Amino acid sequence: MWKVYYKPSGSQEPVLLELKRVGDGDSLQYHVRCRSIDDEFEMTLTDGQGWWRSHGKVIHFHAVTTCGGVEVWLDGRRYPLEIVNRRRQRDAAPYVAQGVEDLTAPMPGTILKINVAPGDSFAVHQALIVMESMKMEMTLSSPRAGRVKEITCEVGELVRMGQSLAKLDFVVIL
Amino acid sequence: MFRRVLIANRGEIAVRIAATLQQMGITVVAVFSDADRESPHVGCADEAYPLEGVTAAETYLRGDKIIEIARDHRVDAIHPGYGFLSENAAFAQACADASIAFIGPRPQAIRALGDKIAAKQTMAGAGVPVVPGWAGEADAAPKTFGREAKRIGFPVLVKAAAGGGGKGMRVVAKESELEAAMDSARREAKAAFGDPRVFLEKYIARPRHVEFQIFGDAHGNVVHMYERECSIQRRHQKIIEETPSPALTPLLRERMGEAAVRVASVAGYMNAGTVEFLVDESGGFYFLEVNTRLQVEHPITEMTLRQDLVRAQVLVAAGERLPFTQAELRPEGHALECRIYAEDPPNGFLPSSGTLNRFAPPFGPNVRVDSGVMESNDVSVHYDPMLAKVVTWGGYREDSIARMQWALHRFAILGLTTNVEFLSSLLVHPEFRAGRLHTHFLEENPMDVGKPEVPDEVFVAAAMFTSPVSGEGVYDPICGDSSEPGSSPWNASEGWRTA
Repeated sequence: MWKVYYKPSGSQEPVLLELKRVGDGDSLQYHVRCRSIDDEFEMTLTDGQGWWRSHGKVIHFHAVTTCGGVEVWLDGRRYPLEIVNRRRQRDAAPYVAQGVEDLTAPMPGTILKINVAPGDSFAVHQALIVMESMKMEMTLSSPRAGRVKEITCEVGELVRMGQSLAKLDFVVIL
Repeated sequence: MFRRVLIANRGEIAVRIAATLQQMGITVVAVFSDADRESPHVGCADEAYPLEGVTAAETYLRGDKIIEIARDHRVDAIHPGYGFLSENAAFAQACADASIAFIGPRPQAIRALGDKIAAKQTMAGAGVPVVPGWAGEADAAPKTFGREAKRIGFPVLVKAAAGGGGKGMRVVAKESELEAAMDSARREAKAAFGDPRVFLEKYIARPRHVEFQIFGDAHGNVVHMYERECSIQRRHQKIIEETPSPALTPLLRERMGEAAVRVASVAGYMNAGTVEFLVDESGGFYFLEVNTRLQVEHPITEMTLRQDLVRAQVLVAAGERLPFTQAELRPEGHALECRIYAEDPPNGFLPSSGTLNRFAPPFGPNVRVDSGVMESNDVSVHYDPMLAKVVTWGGYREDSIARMQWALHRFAILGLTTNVEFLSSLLVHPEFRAGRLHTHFLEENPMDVGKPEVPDEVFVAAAMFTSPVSGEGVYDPICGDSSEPGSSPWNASEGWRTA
């Protein structure tokens, strides 16, 4: 099983894709899981373009590598994607802060730990919530200092991608 | 007939001209700048010689260098394409002086029609309707311009006498803004054309840009080849052209065609040219200017008339008769052209540059793609950022639009931002569908290209391309390893590590 995290250009949320080669090895057959997709496909690939069939529907694409990412052409549109480096993810600033902001789950998973309580102040990049997603631990923090207004999840809770986990108050210094 | 013809141009037009020349059994001689070593216009030629330098001024605009190459390599004729030296009377004259045929109009005609002020006066005198305006004198006092602007009636348009492409052009809504607008238009005109003269014209709200292809030979034959509507423009440059125009009634078409032929006859015009008109909302039409060259959008005329304009240009330049008469020119169906630019429409159509990592044009019935780039070419800032022209034909306007939608939807370009998605949204706009076009269409109807939710399949496609064949782990990119041109992580193990 391979895992890749993609971030569409202009978006904050990484998308997890899991991929597993299946079948006898003569064909490029994969089990793919990504957001709503959880299916097996047989791929046809030639030199940066290819297609697969999903219940008869043909999905044709072109792809090229870019610095740190992939560019995909699909259905008449161009999608630049960044491949997220997990080791550098901590340094990224995935949340824009302005007044009250939701801390949201970047992917579906289970809440492992909540390090703060309502009323607590927190520092830049302080670990606020730890969650597990696809057997991987993720520490959620904020790129700005602030105060916790409300915690909207519980330890052990299964959360959806984008679900609000906490409401954060920011002191915006102009 | 010519045996060897030099194409003094680059990009799609050089490639397109080369095709016709070779089909006529003529040897194609190309010239190229340092930046164009790997461009298709070199690869498709029979012979190619370098113009040392990179900028247009150092290369494709150097008439002296080009004529020297033509002489050294026993060239019979030079085709200038569009842009660069195509409307340069001095270059046409220099060709004649070197006993090389210039595939275009005579130098006198280029000179006479290139002066927009003089051309307008000549045509008005010949009974061709022109936009009310005032040519004045180059050094008239600002007060005089002010008085004339009031006589014409605001809003007025300040235009460069030697202009084109929207350079040195200003819309002035009221008298108090006139002087400042004239000053800045003069500065821009001086910088762009080396000629600061400007003139005034009545500003027509929501005009259509409708042009007529004209063609003349050395035997006194003059025809028009019907119209092209080019109202969809951004930054005063056309991006979509079509023929026939949805606005022309048969009667209006006949009157404008007659006027175009009159313009060509008065100018003693030989070879291919284009008479530009503005058409106002009530169907009035006004002569604007003559472009003394092959137009970018000539393929739509070729589609509906089933003619090769470059072939006709070559025949006429070689002294032969026009290969068609007016009566033989019977347009059929509808043709549409979309210009594919390396530019970013939501960002003010700013040109984009980069490497064309993927360039896969569509192929299909009644779809023609003229392009001057190849996959892996760098698109630089030195030249026009047009990558390709997609031209479709259909029995009716809806058919050619449907074919264009198909073609744009299948045109895969990666590596830089293009206007393909923008053009696709334009084609479905109800006002465009209704044929209610005018030159301010894009300002009045901003297109919503949108940033759609990325479909899940996109990530699957990306993974297909970047995934290793087997094993397991997590892909963490190390920038540099995966950015080598042509290298796909598919083939490499860098970045993949076992979890």
